[in-house]
Amino acid sequence: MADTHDLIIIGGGPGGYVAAERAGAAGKNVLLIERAHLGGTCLNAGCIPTNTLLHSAKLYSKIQNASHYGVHADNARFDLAEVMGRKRRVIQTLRNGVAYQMARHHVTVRAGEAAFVDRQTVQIEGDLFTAPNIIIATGAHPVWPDVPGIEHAVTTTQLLDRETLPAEMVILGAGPLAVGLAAIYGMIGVKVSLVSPEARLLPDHDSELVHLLLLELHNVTLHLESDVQRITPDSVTAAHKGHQLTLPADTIVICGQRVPNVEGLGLEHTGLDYSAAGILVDEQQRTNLPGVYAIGDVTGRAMWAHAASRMAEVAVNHLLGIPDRFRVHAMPSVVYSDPEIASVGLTADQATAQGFRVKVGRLPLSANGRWVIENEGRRGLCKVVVDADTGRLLGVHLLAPNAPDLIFGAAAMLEDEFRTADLKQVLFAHPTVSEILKDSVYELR
Amino acid sequence: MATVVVMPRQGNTVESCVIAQWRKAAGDAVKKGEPLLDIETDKALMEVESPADGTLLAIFAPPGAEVPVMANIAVIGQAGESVEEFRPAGTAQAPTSHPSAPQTVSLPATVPAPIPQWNGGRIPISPRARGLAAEKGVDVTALSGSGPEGRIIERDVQAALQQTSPMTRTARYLAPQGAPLPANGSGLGGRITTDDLRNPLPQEQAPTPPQTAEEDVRIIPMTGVRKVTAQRMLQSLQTTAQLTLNASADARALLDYRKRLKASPEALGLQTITINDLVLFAVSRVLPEYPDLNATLSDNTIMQYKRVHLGFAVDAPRGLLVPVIQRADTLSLKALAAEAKRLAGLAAEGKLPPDVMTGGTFTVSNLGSFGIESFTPVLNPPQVAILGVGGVHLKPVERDGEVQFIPHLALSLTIDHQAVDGAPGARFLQALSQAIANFDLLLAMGG
Repeated sequence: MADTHDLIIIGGGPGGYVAAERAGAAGKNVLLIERAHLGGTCLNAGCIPTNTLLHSAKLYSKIQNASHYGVHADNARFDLAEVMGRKRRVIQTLRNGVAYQMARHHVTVRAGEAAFVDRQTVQIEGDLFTAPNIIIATGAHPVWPDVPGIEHAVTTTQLLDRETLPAEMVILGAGPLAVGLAAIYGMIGVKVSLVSPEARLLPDHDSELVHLLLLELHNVTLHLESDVQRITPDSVTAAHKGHQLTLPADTIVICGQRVPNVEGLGLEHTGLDYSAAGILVDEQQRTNLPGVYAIGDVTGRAMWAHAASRMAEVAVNHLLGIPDRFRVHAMPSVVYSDPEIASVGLTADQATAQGFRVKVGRLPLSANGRWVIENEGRRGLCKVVVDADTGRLLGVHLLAPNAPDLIFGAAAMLEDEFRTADLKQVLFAHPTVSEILKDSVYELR
Repeated sequence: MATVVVMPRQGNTVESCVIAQWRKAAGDAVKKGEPLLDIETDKALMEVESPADGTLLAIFAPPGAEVPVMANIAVIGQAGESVEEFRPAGTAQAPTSHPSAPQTVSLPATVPAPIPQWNGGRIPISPRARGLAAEKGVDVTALSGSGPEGRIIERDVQAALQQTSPMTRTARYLAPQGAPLPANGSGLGGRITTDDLRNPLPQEQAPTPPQTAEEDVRIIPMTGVRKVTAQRMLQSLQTTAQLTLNASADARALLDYRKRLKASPEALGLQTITINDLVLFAVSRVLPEYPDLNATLSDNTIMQYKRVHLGFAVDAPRGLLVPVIQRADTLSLKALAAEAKRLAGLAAEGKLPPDVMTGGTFTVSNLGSFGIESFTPVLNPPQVAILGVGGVHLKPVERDGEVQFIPHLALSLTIDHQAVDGAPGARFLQALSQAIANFDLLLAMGG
């Protein structure tokens, strides 16, 4: 006899645990299945540990540059082992927080690998569980490139467990996490090379912001359009436009493509519409099977923790009968580095390609009082992209410290399709970095 | 001198009525006593007669309008007379001062209804508008009323309901004036976005009835009594814990007595007393001894009543109506039967005043004339019990080793188990069965 619930969620990451929390809060009897740790990649091997390291690296960098602000602190020392210890405590605190939320909402948490028996039944180590609704939130995993010597490389998860400082590091990737890791290790004195076959770093972001960010990174060199050919324990060899390039490295990190976790779930028994690229879902996160939803990285779309959490809410709302849909147009894209990039909506190039007549308001942060106070000798930029015909805000792009904390305001404006005239009526506290958003609107060209 | 027609007062609880239809148009000649219009409350449809001879000079409220009682709705007079002085504020033309007091015709009452004022949080709103807004979740504080003195009427709530989804700021800026908008939006909180204006979303999938040729189906919007019945019945089943007990009573004494009544001299006025009247009488006499069942339940409070205000279901042309015989326990059989007959007659004519349908403490529903053997009556909340009366059937009864077929009257008692347990319900039903079986003795108890 199978154990029956209202909702089974497979995967306890920022998709799964948010779904469990929301459904539990709505009075549903929820079973959450997690094979490793609550919190998923984000909490255990992604956003949380990298941001913990980033914070320590920024602090170290600030102390080194404190003399710009009249403060002298000599003999600053970065202790990677201690930083890693703190990282473990942060992770444990947040894992406990998720576990508390599960208990608070009467969610049953079961450890183990779940596999579908049919579309309403899963089994874990021989135990059967059934529910009219199942949410698949199994996340994604990094792809190991097919390169000789790849066994000498490590994943980001493995890197984040190492307590000895590398001297020279090669990161294979050009996405936000690769840039973030490059920023962190660069700041603490590691020579970092970013190597990617892509033509652009952070291809989804405004190229001018990316260029300025690169100028701000320390100890980082970039090798784009470079195909890795061979890896040895102490080097990476890549081909760039017919030339061979060998980069010395004691640490080689895989930080490229991630692919949805669709294997080993017994999905083949269910008639589910999926491929290696992910599970197909609609705007309500519904799959082709009634009662079965997929959220987060396993859908292969919008692979961000915050997108997974939002998809979770959409799926739960749908099964509760509350109208909702997952909208991607106001989803923040963020790069956690120093400074940080946060973007929402279209870049000028994307908007032009979509047929908009575009105006851009561009304003360096040197025009912002708060930023000048706190950022001696740094670079920062804000760009707002506007539809010239209607005045509608199409995108906001910000390179500034804590930009990801500010971007929600722009996301709310995009969701409500603010026009510049509307934005101009919003009050911004002074002096804050956020004021750059309003001031940029007066720079539309 | 012109005669103003006002919305008649319907007892003390009705604040406004809806104009169902005008039987006459402006300019028509009308005679005193002739039907002038039909009005509807949430409980009944009624006819309003012309208060005077003359010409219907003006109509101030169109069909569908909800008008407070005692407000002016029309003027009757001689062709050419001015009507402006009677025109209520807020209708087509501005009112003028009253140079001479009009001859106001009051129908059941004479005190003008106070016009609701905006006083410290009380929103001027008609009961129907309030009911609809509550049902549909419309925020009435956001509405502006189009009724007299800014009163929110049903039409305002309906207009709010028909409004499309909220719009984003740019969509609002772009949307052409007066053009139809998509019914729903893909944006935040269902907002209509600029994309939705270009490519409207497909309508949300609502369950659609099977496709049928137009001539094969009659479409009847739920209004009036039908709508109220629908709401009450659903509310009854959703908010109460209904339990039905079935029994039957030896009907010989009842049938004998009815025979004697029929044979009685006409002058006594007893010939028209029906079996149902006898059952109502029996209930009115037994019920005071079972206060658990002569009760209402609302807001977690049970109220038991000393007097029996006895509702009985009437199959009227406009649907199910339940007039209430006030203080039935104090009426003689003859008086009770006469009151039941009077109320049933008013119900049949659609002239039942709404007040007569409120305040019941117990209800009897009789389907015996259809030969129904037993049924499950649905509670009439907030009452906690209802008696269903079926037909008379022969029932084999063993007595002194012999089986006799004895006529029995089917009785079904539905109780709200929230307020009454099964045993007290069963005790009442048993007592009622015995009272019916010994109807002649019951009469001796008088009343």
